[in-house]
Amino acid sequence: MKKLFSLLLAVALVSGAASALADTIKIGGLAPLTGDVAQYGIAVREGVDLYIEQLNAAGGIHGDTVEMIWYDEKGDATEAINAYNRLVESDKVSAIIGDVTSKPSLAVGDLAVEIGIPIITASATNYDVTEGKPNYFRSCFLDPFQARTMANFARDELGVTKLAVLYDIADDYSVGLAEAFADQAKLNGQEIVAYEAGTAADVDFKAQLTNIAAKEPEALYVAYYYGPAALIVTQAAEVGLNVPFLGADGINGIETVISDVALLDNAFFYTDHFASDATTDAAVAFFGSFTEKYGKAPYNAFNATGYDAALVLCEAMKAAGSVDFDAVVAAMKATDVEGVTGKLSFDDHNDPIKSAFITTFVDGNQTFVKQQEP
Amino acid sequence: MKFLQQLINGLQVGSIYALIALGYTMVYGVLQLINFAHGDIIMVGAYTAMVAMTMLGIPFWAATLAAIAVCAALGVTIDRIAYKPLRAMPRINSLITAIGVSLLLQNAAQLIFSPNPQTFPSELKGAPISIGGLDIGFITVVIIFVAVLLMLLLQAFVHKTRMGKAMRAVSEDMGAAQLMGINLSTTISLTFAIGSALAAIGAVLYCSAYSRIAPTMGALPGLKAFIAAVLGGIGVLPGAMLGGFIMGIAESLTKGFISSQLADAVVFGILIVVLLVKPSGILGRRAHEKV
Amino acid sequence: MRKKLQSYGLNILALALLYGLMSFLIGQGAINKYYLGILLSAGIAIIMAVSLNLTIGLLGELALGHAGFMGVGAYAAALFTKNIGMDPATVFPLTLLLGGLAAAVFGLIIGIPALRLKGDYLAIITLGFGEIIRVLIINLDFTGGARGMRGIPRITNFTYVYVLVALVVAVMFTLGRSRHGRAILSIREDPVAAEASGIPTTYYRIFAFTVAAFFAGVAGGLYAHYVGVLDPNNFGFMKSIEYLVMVVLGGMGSITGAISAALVLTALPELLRQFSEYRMLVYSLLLIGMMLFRPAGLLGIREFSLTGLLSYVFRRCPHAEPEEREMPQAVAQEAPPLRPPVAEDAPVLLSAQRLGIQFGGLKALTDFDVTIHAGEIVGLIGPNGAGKTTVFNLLTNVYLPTSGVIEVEGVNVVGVPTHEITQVGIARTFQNIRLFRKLTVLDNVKIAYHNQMQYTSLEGTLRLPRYWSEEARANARAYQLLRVFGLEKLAEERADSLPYGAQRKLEIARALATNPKLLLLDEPAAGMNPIETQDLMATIRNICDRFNVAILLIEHDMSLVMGICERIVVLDYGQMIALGTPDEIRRDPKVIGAYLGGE
Repeated sequence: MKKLFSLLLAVALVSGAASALADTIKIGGLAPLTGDVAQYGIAVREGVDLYIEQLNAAGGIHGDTVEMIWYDEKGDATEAINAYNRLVESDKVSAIIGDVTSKPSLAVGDLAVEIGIPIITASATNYDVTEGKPNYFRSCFLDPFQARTMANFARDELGVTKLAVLYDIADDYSVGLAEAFADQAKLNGQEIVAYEAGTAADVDFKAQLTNIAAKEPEALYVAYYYGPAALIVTQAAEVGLNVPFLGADGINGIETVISDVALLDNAFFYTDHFASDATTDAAVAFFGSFTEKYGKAPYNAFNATGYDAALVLCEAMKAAGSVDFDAVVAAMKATDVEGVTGKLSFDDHNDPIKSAFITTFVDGNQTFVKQQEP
Repeated sequence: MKFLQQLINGLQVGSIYALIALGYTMVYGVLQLINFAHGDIIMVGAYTAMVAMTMLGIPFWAATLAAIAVCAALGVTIDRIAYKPLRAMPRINSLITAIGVSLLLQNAAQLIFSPNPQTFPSELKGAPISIGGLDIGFITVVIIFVAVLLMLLLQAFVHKTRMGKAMRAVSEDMGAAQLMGINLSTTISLTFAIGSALAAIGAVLYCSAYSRIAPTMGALPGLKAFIAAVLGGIGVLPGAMLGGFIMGIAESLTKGFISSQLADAVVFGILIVVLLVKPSGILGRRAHEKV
Repeated sequence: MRKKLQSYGLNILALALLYGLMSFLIGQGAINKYYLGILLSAGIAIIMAVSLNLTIGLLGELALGHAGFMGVGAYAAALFTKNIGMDPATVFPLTLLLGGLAAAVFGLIIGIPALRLKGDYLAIITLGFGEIIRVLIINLDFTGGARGMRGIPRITNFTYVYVLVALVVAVMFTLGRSRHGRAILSIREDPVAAEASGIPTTYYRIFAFTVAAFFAGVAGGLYAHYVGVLDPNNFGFMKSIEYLVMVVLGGMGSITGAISAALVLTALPELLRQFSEYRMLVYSLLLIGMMLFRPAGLLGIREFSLTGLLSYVFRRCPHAEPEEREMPQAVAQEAPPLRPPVAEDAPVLLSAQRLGIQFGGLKALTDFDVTIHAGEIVGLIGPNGAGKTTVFNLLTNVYLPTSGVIEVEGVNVVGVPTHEITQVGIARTFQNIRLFRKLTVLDNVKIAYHNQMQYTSLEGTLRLPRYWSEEARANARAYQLLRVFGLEKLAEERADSLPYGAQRKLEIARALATNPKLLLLDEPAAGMNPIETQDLMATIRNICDRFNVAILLIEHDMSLVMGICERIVVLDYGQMIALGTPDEIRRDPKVIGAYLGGE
C-alpha cells in the first residue's frame, strides 16, 4: 500500500514537473540577503546570477530559459523553511540553489529530502548538510578537509610544532575549522599551546592575542572570515606576535580590507577553492565576465563556488533532458565538469572531489603555493 | 606584566565604550529614552568620514568634522521624526520606533555600501609609546585621551553653561522646566545633536583603531556601551565613563585570565551582580519615590 | 455566571469550528505547506507574544530576554526527545511540558532580581540573563555549541500548535481575570498602593516572570520540533526585541492585540519576501509608521471579544455586556455583614513607642508614641513637613524605622512587609491619591479583597467552583461597599475618569475592603469644598461605626479634625508636642505657637 502510494506520488510529481518544462525552468535561490550574514548570501547570488545570465544568453537548457527566484531568509532557519516552502509549493521550482549558511541549510535539507528535489549549496561547509540526503549536493569543500590540509602544511612545509588557534565561538564555520585543525595537529604530533576564542562581531582581539603571544607559538590558525582576520593580523603586530598565520577559504579577500598589506606577505597561508593566479580558461573567463558584470573583481570564494553550483545543476538538467527530480539528481551524481574552481565530481557523500589550493601573498597579491589533493 | 598589558587592552576598548555611552547617557538623562539607534549613528559617522576621505578626497580632520555635522543633523532629525510625536506616550513606544530607525539605518547602509566590510583609511597613526617595557599603541593613547577630554568638556558644559543648565532642568522635570521658560524643543534637539556628535567622534576613533567598517558595526558596541552606561548609573556623565572603563577592563581581564570563551557571560554576570548590590548603577542617584 | 458559561461555550464552539475548517483546508491542500509553515510560525510567535505580554503588558516590567527562555525550552525539549529512547511523537506533550518547566526554572531565577530592581535596570538585567543563556548554550557540549543541534524529529504539526495557542490564550484570559491576574495588574498600576492593599508584590512579580517563562519554554519546544535544527544565535537579544515589538505594536496589555500583531508581523516579512534585499528596509519603515500613526498599538488596551462582536452584529444590546455585572441588588442584600462586631471594652489596637527615623542626618521623626484603641478616631495634625505622613509610612513599613517598636494587638510588626501589615489589619490611603488608575472602580476594590479569597491560580485559571463562589461573593461585597460611598453606579468606569472627590472616596473604599481594624487616612479632605468636607465627615463617622474600625486621620481642615476626633496628636518638626482631646489641643499654647509660627 505504502509502495503504491509513493509510486503514485512519484508519478504525480513527474507529470507535474514535466508539464512545467515548457519554456522557462524555474530555479529557486535561498540566501541571506539582509542581516548579519548577508555578505555571503550576496556573494553566492552574484556568482549564480552571472552563470545563469551566460547560460540564457547561450540558449538556455535545450532552448528553455532559466529563471532564478531569489528569496531572502536573513540567515534564520525558520525563515529559510518558509522561503523553501514558498519556492516549492507556490513557485513550483524545479531545483534549488542554497542555502548559504549551515543551519538554514540543515533545516531546509530535512524538508528537501522528503520530496527529492535537486538542491545544491555553494557555501555550507558543515559535514552534516549532505549527510543522509542523496539529493543534496555542494560545490564547496568541507571544513575538516581544509583544516586538516592546513595542519599538515604547517608540519610539512613550515616545519612548526607549537601552534595556537583563535576562533569565533558563536560561529559554526569557525568552530568546525578550529576543532578539526586541533585534532589533526595532535595526530601530527604538533602541540596546541593556545586555544582562544572571540565572540560574534568582536573587533578587539588584543586580549586573546596577548595570551597567545605569552605562550610563544610558532604559528597561529585564524579560523575567521577575512574581515575579522584582517583585524587579528593587525592587532597581532601591535602586541608583538610575529608568527605565520594560517587560515581557511574565508580568508580570501583579506588583502582588500587590511590596513597594511605588508603584514600578509609570506606570512598568511590559507586554503582556497582555486588558485588565484590560476590560468585555466574557465577561471580567467570567470574573472573577466564577473568584473564586467559587477564592476569589481571577484572578492569572495563564494562568487566562484556559487557560479559552480549553478553550473553543476544546469549541466545536470541538460544531461537529464528533463527537470524530473530523480533524473536530475542522478545526473548531478554523475557530474564531471570543469568549473571555475577546477574539475568537479562528487563522492558518495555528495561532496565535491577537488583539491585545496594553498595561497599566500607576495607584495599584497595572492600567490599560489601548493595544491593539496583530497 | 601580562596583567598590565591586558589592563591597557581593556582601557582602549573601555574608552570606546565610554565615548559611545556618553551619548546614550545624555539622551537618557533628558528623555529617559533608550536610543537604540545610537549605535547605528556611529555607523553613519564612520561611513560619512570614509566617503569624505576616499570619494571627495578631503583631509582626515575635515572628514571628521563632516562626520560630526552629519551625525548631529541625523540625530536631531531622528528625534523630530521618530521620537517627538510620541513624547506623550509611554516611553516604550519610542523604544520601538528607535528599533525601527536602527533597522532602517542598517539596511539602508547595506543597500548603499553593500554588506561587505570595508577598510577605513585612518591617518591617526604613530609609533607605539613605550613605558617601562610596555608597548602602548599610539591610537590607544589618543582614544583614552580624547574620551577623558570630552567627558570633562561635557561635564563643564552641563554644569557651567546656560544651555547645560537648561538640559539638567529638563532632565529633572520637563514640565517645570517648560514653565520656567526653557525651550523644550531646542534643549532636546541640542541633546541629540551633542550625543550624536560624540557618536561621530567615537566612530572616527573606533575606525582608526580597528580600520574596519560595515553596516552592522554599530550594533554590538552600541549594546555594550548602553550596558556600560547602566552599569555606571545611567544619566550620570562620569558614570558612563566609569561604566565604559569597567566593561572594557572586565572584558579584557576575563579573556586574559579566566576564559575567552565565556567572556560575555562573565561581563553580563558582573553587570547583574553590580546592579543587585547597587540597583541604580555605580554612580547613579537612587530616586526616592515620594509616598 | 450562566452568561459567562454561555460565552465560554460559544468561544469553544467557534474554536472547534475554526479547527475543523483549517484541518479540512490543509487536508485538501488548499492551505499548502508554505501557508501551513507560516501559520505554524505565527502560532509559535503568538504564544511568545502573549506570554511576554504578561510581563510587559500586565506586570508592566520591560523584559528584554524573552527569547532566552524560548531557547532553554527548545534545547530542553530537544534533548529530551533525542534521549528518551521512546517514540518521541507519543511523549510529545510531556516533552513540551518539560521544556516549559525548564524555562520556568530560569524565569524564577531571573525573577529574583525583580525583588530589588525596577524599570530600565530590570530590563538590562533580563537582557543580561538572556545573553548569558545564549553564551552558555554556545559553550556547553551537550547543546552542540555554535554548530547548533540537528536531527530533532519534526513532530510539531497544526493540531499541536492550534491547541496550544488556544490553551495559552485561554489561560492568559482566565488568569488575567482572577484575583492573581488583578494582583499582577495592580503592580503595573501602582506597586506602593498594591502592597498597601495587601498584595504580596514580590511574589506576584516572580510569579508573572515564571509563568511567562514557562509558556516561552513551551513555545521553544514547539519551535525545536518544527524547525528540526537549533541555532543558539536564534535566541539572542534581537529575537527578544522581535517579540517585544509584537507586544507593543499589538497594544500593551491586550492579549488579542498581541495575537494580531504576532500574525501581522509574521505575515509581513513573507509578503515582502520578493523584495529580497529591500525587504528589511520596507519592514523598518512600516514599523516606524505603524508606531507613529497608531501609538497605542493595533488594539490599544482593548480586547476583541467574540460575544461582544456578536452582540454588536446582531444589535441585541447596544454594547457588550461588561464583565461580571450580574449581581447588584438581590445578592447584595443577603451579603454577610462585613465584620464581626468588636468587643465593647475597646482593647488596645495599635501602640507605637519611641518611634523614630533618620534620613541621613535628618531626623524626620523622633520618639513618637501613640496608642490607638479599637473603634477610636484619632487625629494627627501639625504644620507642613512635621512628619505626619512619615508616621503612616513607618506604621505600614514603607520605611523601616531606625528606632522604636510598633505593636498591633501586642505583636511587634517592625520589619514586617507592608502587605502583611495590611493583612494584620492596618489599611491606609495616600496624600496624593494612588488608585489603580487604568482599572475599573470595581477592580480597584476587588484587588483589596485579594487576601480574603483563597482559590489558587490553578483554580482561577480552570474556573473551578471555588473561583465562581468566591468571585461572586467578592463582587457582592464590593458593590455593597461602593454603595456606602455612592459609587456603585460608577463601578464599571475607569478609576482615573472619576471626579476628584469620588477618587478620594474610592481610595477609602479600597482601604476598607482589606477588612482593616485600623484605617489610616492621609488628608482625605484635601481639595474638597466645605460641603464635600461636611459630607466626608459624616462618611468617616459612618465608616467608624458601621465597619467597626479605628481611624488615624491626618488632616489640615481643623473643623473636620475637631469635629470628629476623640483624641488628637500634634507633631512639629518630627517631635510630638501635644496629645489630648480636641478641647485640650485647642487651648494648648505649644500647639498655638507651632501653628502661628508655622503659618
